[in-house]
Amino acid sequence: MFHSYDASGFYDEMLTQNGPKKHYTPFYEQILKLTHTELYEKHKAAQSSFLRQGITFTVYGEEGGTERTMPFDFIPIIIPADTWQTVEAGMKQRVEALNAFLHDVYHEQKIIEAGIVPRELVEQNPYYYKQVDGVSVPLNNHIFLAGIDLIRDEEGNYCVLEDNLRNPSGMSYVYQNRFAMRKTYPEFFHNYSIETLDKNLAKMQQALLSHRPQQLPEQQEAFAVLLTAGVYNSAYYDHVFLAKEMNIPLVEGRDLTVIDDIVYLKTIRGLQRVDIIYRRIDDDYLDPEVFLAESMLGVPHIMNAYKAGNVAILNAVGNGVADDKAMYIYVPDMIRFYLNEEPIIQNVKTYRLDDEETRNWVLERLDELVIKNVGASGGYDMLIGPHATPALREKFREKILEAPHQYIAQPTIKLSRAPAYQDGRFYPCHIDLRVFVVRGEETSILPGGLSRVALKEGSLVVNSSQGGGGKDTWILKEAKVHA
Amino acid sequence: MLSRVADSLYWLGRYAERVETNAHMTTSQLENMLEHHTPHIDTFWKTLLDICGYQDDFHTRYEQPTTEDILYYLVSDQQNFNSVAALIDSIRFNAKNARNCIPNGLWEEWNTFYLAMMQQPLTQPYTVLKTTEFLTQLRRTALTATGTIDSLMTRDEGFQFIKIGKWIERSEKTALILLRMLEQQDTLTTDTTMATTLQLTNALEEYARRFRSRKSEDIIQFLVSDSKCSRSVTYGIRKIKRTVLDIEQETLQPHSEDLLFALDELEALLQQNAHNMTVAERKEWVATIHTKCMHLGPIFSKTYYLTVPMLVE
Repeated sequence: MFHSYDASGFYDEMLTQNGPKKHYTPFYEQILKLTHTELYEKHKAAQSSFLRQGITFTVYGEEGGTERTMPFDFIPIIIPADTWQTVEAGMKQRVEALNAFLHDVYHEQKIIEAGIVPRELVEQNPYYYKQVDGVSVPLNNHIFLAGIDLIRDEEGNYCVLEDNLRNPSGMSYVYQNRFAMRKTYPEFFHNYSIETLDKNLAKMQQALLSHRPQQLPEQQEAFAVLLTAGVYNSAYYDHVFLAKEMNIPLVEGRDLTVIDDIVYLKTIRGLQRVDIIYRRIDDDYLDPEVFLAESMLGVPHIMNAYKAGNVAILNAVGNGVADDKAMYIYVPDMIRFYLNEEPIIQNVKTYRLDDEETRNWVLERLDELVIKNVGASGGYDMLIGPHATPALREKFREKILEAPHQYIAQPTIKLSRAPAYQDGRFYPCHIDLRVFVVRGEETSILPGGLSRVALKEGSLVVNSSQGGGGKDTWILKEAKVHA
Repeated sequence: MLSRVADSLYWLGRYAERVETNAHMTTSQLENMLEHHTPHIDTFWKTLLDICGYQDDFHTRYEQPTTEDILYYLVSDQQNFNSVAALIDSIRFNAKNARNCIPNGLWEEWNTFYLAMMQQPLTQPYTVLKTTEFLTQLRRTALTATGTIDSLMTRDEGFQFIKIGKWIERSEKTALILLRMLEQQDTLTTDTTMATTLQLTNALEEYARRFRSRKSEDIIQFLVSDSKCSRSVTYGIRKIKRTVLDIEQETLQPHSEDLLFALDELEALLQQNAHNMTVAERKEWVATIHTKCMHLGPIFSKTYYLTVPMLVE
C-alpha cells in the first residue's frame, strides 16, 4: 500500500525509508490487514457522518456562505509521551508569559520600560485597546483559551508558528475527529494506550466558572454564557459544541442587554443576570458604543459592565496586541523577562521589515522566504516564495515597500509530513498542530490538539478554508505500546 | 430558557407540522387528480393553494397556471415561504439556532433530509410517482423527528415550546381547511366537500372507523369538537392549555392571563353545537374559530417575550 510513498526529503511523522517508526508499527500493521475497498468504504462513512451531523464551517464567497466539512484523514498523528511532556511544558510556559505580557501592557508596561518590546509596536498595534488600560480582570487572567500552532522542522523539532489568543477555534474538531476514529476505525486502537479527551471539557467548564467577576458575591454561583455571532458564523459548530459540553446557554448579542452596568439575558421569564461571558466574537464587535458603531453582533454598554467588574469577558478584551505576527518575535524575550526561564519550544526565525538593512536582505530573497501580513490569519495575504509566481513576488515586493511594518519574513521551513489517505491512495502531506491551552485557577492542556493537514499535494497551507483537513492526534501513555 | 431559543423551538414545531400537513395534502390531491373530472381539479387545486400558500401571490406570477406550475409553487419555489423547500430551510435554520437544546438525532434527521434535497432536488416534470415518493419521504422524516422529540427530549420548556408550536399550527390548519372547504359548498357537492375535508385534515380513516354518518354537521362537529381525535381543533387547544399550565406550574400568573383567557374563550366557542346552526351560521362559526386560532400565536409570543418569526435569509 505504501510502495509508491516517498518518505524522503522531509521529516515524516510515521515512516522512514525503511518502514514505519516504532510508535507507528501497530497502526501500520493494522492498515495492511485492510483491503482498498474496506479503506474506501470507511473513508466514505466517516466523511458523510461529519456532513450529517452538521459538523461544518462556513466559507464565504460570492454567493454568501457555503457550508463545508473539514475533510477527515484517518491516519492519526501519534506522539510519544516524553515528546508530549516537553510540548506541554513549553505551551504552559509560553502562555503564562503571554498572559504576563498582556497584564503588563495594560498596566505598568514594565517590558517597554525595560526596552525589550518597542513602545511603538504596542501603541501602533491596531489590537491594542487603550479603552481597557488599567482594567483588572478576574484571576489576572487574560487568556482563558489559547490555540498555539506548532510545526516540526526537518529534524523533527517542534517550533511555534503562531499564537492565537483571541478566539482560537477548532477544539470541537479535536473531539469529533476522535469520535469519528473510534466509530469508523476502532480496530486501529488495538495495542495502543492513549490519553483520553473525556475529562478536559469538565476542566474547561471549571476553568471558565473560576473567572468570577469582582462584584459577584462569594456565595453566589456564577452564571456563564457563550456569546456567538450566530448560525452564519464560520465557527458556529465549534460554539454549539462548547456551549453544549460546558452546559452553558449559547447566546447572541441580541439576547443580552445592559442595565445599570449589569448584563442580563433575555429569557422567557424575563431578565437573568449574567456573570461570565465566553465570547466568540472579536473585540471590535463587542460593544457598538465603544468599538465599531455599526456592529450588530455586540451588546451596547457591555464594556461599562466589564470595567465595573460586574461581568467577566473571556478571553479578555485587547488580547490581539500579544498575538500578531510582529509581536510573536518578542515572545521568547517575554519568557525570559517575566519567568526568568529559557523558552522550551522555540520560535521560527522571523524578520521584521521596518529595518532597512533587513528589508533589503529579505527583498533580495523573496524566492526563498515566506512573507506574512502581521494582522492576517487563515493563510491569507501570505507569500510562499519558492511556490509563488514572479508576478506574485513582485506584488509582495510592492506591498512590503508600501507598508514594511505590516509584514514579516520567515525562512521556508521544510514542514514535517505524514501520510494521508484520499482518493484511494496514500501520499505525504504537510501538517501542523494546534495545541489548546485552557487557563483558569489551574492550567490544563488538551492532550494532543488539532492536527491539520494540507491535503493538496505539496501545499503548505493547512487552513480549513483553503483545502486543509484534520487528523486525530494520539498522545501515548507512557510505556504502553506493545510494538 | 433564552427567548430567542424558545422562539426557534416554537417555530421548529410549527414549521415541522406545517410541512408534514402540506405534504400530506399535496399527496392526497395528486391521488384525487387521477380520478376526478377536470373542472373539479381546478377548484381543488385553488383551495389547496389557499391553504398551503398564497393564492394572490401565485396568480400574480402565473397567469394561466398548469398543474406543473402549481406543484412547483407548492414544492420547490423558494419565493413561496410555505413551499416544502422553503419550510425545510426554515426548519433546519431553527433547529440549528437551537442546536444546543435539542437532541442530536432531531437535528440529524432534518439535516439529512435537507442535504438529500440539496443533492437531488425534486425537479420538473413533477410526475405523480416521483412527487409522491419525495413527499412520502418527507413525511417519514417529519414523523421520525416527532418520534425523536417524544422519546429523547427532556420534558422541560424546550419540549413544551415545540409542542405548543405544533398544536397551534395544527388547530389553525384544521380550522382553515374546514373553512376553505365550506366556502366551496356552492361549487362542489356536500359529499365531496366533506370527504375532501376529512382527507385533507388526515382524519378520514379515523372518522370512518368511529362514525357512520356522512352528514356535514356531524363531520364539522367532529373536526371542531371531538376530544379524542388528534386532528380536531378542540384536541389541539386542550393540549396547548395543558402545556401552558405546566409551564406556569398550575398557577395563574399575571403575564399569562391574556393567553389563558384566550384559550378559555376559544374552548367555550368550540363546544357549541353545530347541529343547531344553519349552513351560513356554521360557516360563520368556523370562520370565528379560525380567526381566534390565528390570534393565539401572537398572544403566545407576547406572553413569553418571543421575537419576530424567523425566516431564512
